Amino acid sequence: MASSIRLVAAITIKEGLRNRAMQGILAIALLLCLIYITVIPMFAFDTGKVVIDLGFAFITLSGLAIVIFLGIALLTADMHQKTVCMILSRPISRADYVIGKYCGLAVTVLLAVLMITGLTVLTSWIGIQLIPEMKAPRNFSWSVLAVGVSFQYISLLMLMAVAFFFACLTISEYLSMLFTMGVFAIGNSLETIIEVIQAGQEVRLGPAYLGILKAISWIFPNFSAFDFKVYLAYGLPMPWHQALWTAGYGVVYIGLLAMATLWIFQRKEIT
Amino acid sequence: MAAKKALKIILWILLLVCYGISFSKLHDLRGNLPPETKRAQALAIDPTLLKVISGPFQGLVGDYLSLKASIFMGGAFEVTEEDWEAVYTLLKQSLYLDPFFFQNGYYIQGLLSWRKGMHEKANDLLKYHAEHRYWDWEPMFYVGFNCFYYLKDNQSAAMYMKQASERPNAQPIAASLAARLSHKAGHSLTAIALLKTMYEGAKEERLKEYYGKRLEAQLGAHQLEQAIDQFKKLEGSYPADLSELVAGGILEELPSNPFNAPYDYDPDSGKVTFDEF
Repeated sequence: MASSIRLVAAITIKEGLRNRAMQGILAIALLLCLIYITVIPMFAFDTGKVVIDLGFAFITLSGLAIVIFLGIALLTADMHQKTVCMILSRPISRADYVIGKYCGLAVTVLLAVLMITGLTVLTSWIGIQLIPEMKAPRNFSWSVLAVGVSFQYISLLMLMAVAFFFACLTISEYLSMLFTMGVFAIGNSLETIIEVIQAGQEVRLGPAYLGILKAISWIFPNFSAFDFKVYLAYGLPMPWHQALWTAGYGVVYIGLLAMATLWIFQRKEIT
Repeated sequence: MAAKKALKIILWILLLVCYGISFSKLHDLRGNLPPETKRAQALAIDPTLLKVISGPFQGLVGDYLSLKASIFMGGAFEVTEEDWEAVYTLLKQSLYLDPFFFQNGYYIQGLLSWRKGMHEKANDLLKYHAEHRYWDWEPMFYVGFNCFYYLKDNQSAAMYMKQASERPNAQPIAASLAARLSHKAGHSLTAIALLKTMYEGAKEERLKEYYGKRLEAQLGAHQLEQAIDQFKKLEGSYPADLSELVAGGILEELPSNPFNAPYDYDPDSGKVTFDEF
C-alpha cells in the first residue's frame, strides 16, 4: 500500500513540477524580490512587517493557485480522460490513488512555499544591507518564522483536502474550483463575522442567526486561526498553547475530510 | 513570402511607433490632470466589512490604505476638508485592519490630530493604536500630548503621559511631564517641553519642520508672556498692546510668528496665543 501511494505521489510531484503553474510561481517569486526592493522604501515605519505581509500574501496566493489550478485540474483530468481507469487497473487501490495524489501535491505546495520563503528571506537580507529604510521586524526569531510559515502551509493542506473532496464529489473542474474558492472565502471571514455580530456594536442580528453561523463554523475550516504572522511581524510572544491546538485542529480536519473523500471516491462509478 | 514577411515587420514597427506616441500622449495628459481629479479617495466601507472582505490579506490591504493616505499627504496640491476626511477614513480603515502598524499612528498624530474638528476623532484612533502597541511609548505619548494641547484636558493628559512613561524605553521627559501636568504647572513651559520632545522624535523632514514651526511659535508666545509679566510688575497693569513692550524697553523687538500672523493678545488676562491654521 505504502509503495503504491509513493508511486502515485512521485508521479504527481513530477506532473506538478512540469506544470506551467509552478514555473509561473517561480517567475512571480523572482518578481516579488523586485517588488520588495521598490515598494518597501515607500514605507517610513515597520518595514519588516510590510515584507512579511507581502511574503505571506504571496505564499497564500501561490498555494491557492497550486491547489485550484493544479490539484483540482490533475484530479478531474484523470477522471475525464479516464487515465484513472488505467491507474486503478494496476494493483493500486482507490484509496492509495487519492492519498498518493494528495501527498504528491502536498510536496509540490511545500516546495513552492519553501521557495517563496527562501527568496523572501534572501531578498530581505539583501534589502536590509543595501536600503537604510529596510529593517528586520522587532524581536525577529527564526522559530517564529518557521511556525508562521508552517501554519500557512497547514492551512493550504486543509484547503487542498477541501479541493479533493469537491473534485471527487462533483468530478467537475469548474464546480470544484468554485466550491473550493467559496470555502476559502468563508473559512477566512466567518470568525470575524461571528465576532462582529457577538459584539453587537455595528451589526445587530437575532440569536437564531448567530446560532446558525456558529453551527456553520463547525463545518467550514477556520483559516483565520492559522494566521500567525502578526507574532512574527511585531515580535509578539508566540502563544504556543494556542499554536499546538490549532495544529491539532488542522490535522484532524484534514483527516476527517480525507475519510469523507475516500468514502465518496470508493463509491463513485468510474467507467 | 518575402512580401508577407516585410508586411509583418512594417506592421510591427507601425504598432510600436503608435504605441510609443499614444503612451507618451497619455502620460502627458495624466500628468496634467486638473487638481479636482487628484482628490483623496476612500471607499465608504465600514472597516469591519473591509476586514471581512480582506480575509487573509488584511495586513496587505492595511499597508496599501496607509500608503494611499501617505502618498496623498505628500501631494503638491490644495487640500480641502473632503480630502482630510478621506485621509481620516483611509487611516481608520488601515488601523482597524492592522492596529499595531506604527506608520498609521505616526501619520494620524502628525497630520490629522492638529486639524480643526479632528482633534477628538484622531485621538480616539490613537488611543486604539496605543492600546494595541503596548511595547511602544510613543503612541501613548501622542495621546497625552493631544489631551493637553488640543483637548485642554490636563487630567487625562497626565494619566496618558504616566502610562507612556511606564512603557519600555520611554523617554524620561514623559514621566516629568506627567508630574507637571498633574500639578497643573505653567501651560506655556509644559507645551514647550512637549513640543521639543515631538520635534526631536520626528523621523520625517516634513513633520520635523512642522513641529519646529510650532515650537518656535510657542517659544515666542512664552517670551511675550514673560515680558508682559515684567511689564505688569513695573507698570501695575497689563499692556494694552504688545507694541508697548518694545516702547517700554522690555523687548528689543517682538518675536516673529512662523505661521505668518501676529500673536493674539488678550489685554485682560495677559495671555498670548497663536493661530496655526
